[in-house]
Amino acid sequence: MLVQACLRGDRSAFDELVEHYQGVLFNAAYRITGSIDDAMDATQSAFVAAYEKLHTFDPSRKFFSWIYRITCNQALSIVEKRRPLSAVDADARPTDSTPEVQYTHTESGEFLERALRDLNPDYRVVIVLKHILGFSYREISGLLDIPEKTVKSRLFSARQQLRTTLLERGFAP
Amino acid sequence: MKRERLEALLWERIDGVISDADRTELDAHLAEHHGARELRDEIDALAERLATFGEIEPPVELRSRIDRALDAAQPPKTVHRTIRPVSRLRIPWHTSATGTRNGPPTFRRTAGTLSSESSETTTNKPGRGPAKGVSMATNKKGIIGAFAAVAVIGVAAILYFSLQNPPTVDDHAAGAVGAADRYRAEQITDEDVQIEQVELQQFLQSDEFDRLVNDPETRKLLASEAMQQMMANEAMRDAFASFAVQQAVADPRVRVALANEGFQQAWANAAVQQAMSYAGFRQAYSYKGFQEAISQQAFQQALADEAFAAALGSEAFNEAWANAGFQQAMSDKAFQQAWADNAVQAAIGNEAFQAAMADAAFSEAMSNDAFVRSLGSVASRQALADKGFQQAMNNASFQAALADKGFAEALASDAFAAAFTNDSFQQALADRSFQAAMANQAFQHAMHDKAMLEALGNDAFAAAMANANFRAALADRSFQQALGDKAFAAALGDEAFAAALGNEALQAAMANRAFNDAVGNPSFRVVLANDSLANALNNQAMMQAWSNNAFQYAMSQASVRQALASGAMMEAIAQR
Repeated sequence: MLVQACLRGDRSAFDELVEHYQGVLFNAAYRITGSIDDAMDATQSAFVAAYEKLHTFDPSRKFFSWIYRITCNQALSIVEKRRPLSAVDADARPTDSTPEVQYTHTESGEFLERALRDLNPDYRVVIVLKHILGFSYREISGLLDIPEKTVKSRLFSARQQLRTTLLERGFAP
Repeated sequence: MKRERLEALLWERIDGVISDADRTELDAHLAEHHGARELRDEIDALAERLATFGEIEPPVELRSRIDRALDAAQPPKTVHRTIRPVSRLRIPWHTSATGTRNGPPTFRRTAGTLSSESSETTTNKPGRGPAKGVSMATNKKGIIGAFAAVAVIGVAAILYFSLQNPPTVDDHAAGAVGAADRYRAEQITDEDVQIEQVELQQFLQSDEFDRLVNDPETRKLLASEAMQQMMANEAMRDAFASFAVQQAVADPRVRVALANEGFQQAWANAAVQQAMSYAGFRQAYSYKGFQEAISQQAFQQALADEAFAAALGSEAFNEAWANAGFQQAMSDKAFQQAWADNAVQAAIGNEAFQAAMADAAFSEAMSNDAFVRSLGSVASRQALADKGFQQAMNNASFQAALADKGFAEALASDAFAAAFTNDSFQQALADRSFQAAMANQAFQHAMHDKAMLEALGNDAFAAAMANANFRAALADRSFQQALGDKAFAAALGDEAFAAALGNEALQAAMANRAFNDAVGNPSFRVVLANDSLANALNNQAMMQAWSNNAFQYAMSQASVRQALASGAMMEAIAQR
């Protein structure tokens, strides 16, 4: 509805979409880039890209799925352009001092963040939505426009990969 | 209880969705098995760590940044676009000295105004050229077509085609618009055509418009027969009315491309016309990558190819244009060169390939420099034309693998490219087990290793790929882990070992759990990497031993594997 209203020229409809999704998209971008500034850039670029290309959006799909993927691509593109991944990990630490952010400074947090970033995007998204943003299977299914069964299987594989990666790198969860 | 089920139940327990019956079964299993409890502790710890990440509150300035960026952004195309009748647009202009239809006129916009001083009718006298301030008031079809032309290169086009050079006008009626019936129909009303003037006005008053109408390429384009034919086609007129195309035409390279003979011939192709009716393709004109691509001879050559033109008209391509990775890839020289390659054109014409293009993972691969670079290799492009590769492209696992940086890097390697040309490897690509293996991180990681890549380029290894047992082994978790191991990768790169892989007895052994468990063991992999064992593997008796259950069982024992790794045992093996 909001998308349709925006396509009829109602900019405030898009503002509502921004209000609704900026938090979750920022978090997704942050988990990919590992940097507050880059996450803000990615989120901002994603909204602008979605706004400018809204007429190409297929209304039979979920808007969130569409913009989430745009956000992930923007974030990945920022990471790619910035510098090799290994260097990113060292320098991209957020400067904020919230308890959550401080946690990521710890060795275990960094291991996990890196392992999370190494997952393929389909897997990473379910982990972020489930464990970090706290959505249920059903909510994830709705957000990503995939069957609940697929959510479960992707989560299973993602968790397995995450655990294996951590073990392979010598870090027991 | 199998490990996979145990793991699934442990996660269900954490997610709070485990059923009572499963809970009871799980508790009983945990009570009895120490290993299960260890796994539970590991999973609980991981879940706990993930939970501590928590959600981060976006910085307060994020919203204002987004708002400012949106204010400066191009608004989306509206669904019900309202456009003011073109009849209201009155464009003062001056013809060249002769004002005849022989050769394009010189147009000049009067600064700052779109008002005309003329009447609504067109009453030029034959031989005198168009009158000043000729109105666009004509029949509805003509107006819509005219508006489309405006969108391409501004009012210059509309005047030129409507007034200067209507194809239906007799040679003796030079400059006389009145002779063309199509321009004499009833006046359209606001209800007939909903037109909004804002975009158009802005465009007409822009420096861009000035540049356009005075640009030699624009004139060349206007004068071309292909352009006239194109304007006769409703889909093309409509396409050129899109804002994306208008923006694209402002780029000199695009105008040069549009005036190119190859491109103009392509317009006559129904598939290209169909493509022009797609929003995605129109939008593509505004992408820098596309603008660069169409200015390349390779792309223009590709357009002449039937399969390529047909692909342009496909839904998959329509989606691909909007894809960030694809756009990025279009700017890449290797990708641009690939357009002109027959193999790529054949691949693009293939449904499986098109389906793959529409997939997000493929788009991610396209944004990967290494993957795009791989298209620079002749062998890779040949692979694109291969049915096995195309089927693989359509497979989710393969697409996921493509999105992996290491895998894409591997694709760009000469060894991988060489493997592509191998029939067995191509056959393997189409195989589900192999595709599943490729989706595995360990396998992808293995691709980073030079030895593994060399193994891929090894004929014996490629031949082994044709064997179902070997492919099944590749899909096995232990085996995949082994692939990620340097020692094992080194072993794979060893000719003797690769030759051994081609042996049926060893391949049969690979289907065996014990073998894969053994391979999954680091100390055993060290043994495998040893030249002595690699050579020994080529021995028939040794091969047969692998297919022997007792031998396999022995191999599954840690102590036996450790013993194998000892120097004395190696020596014994070497002497056989």
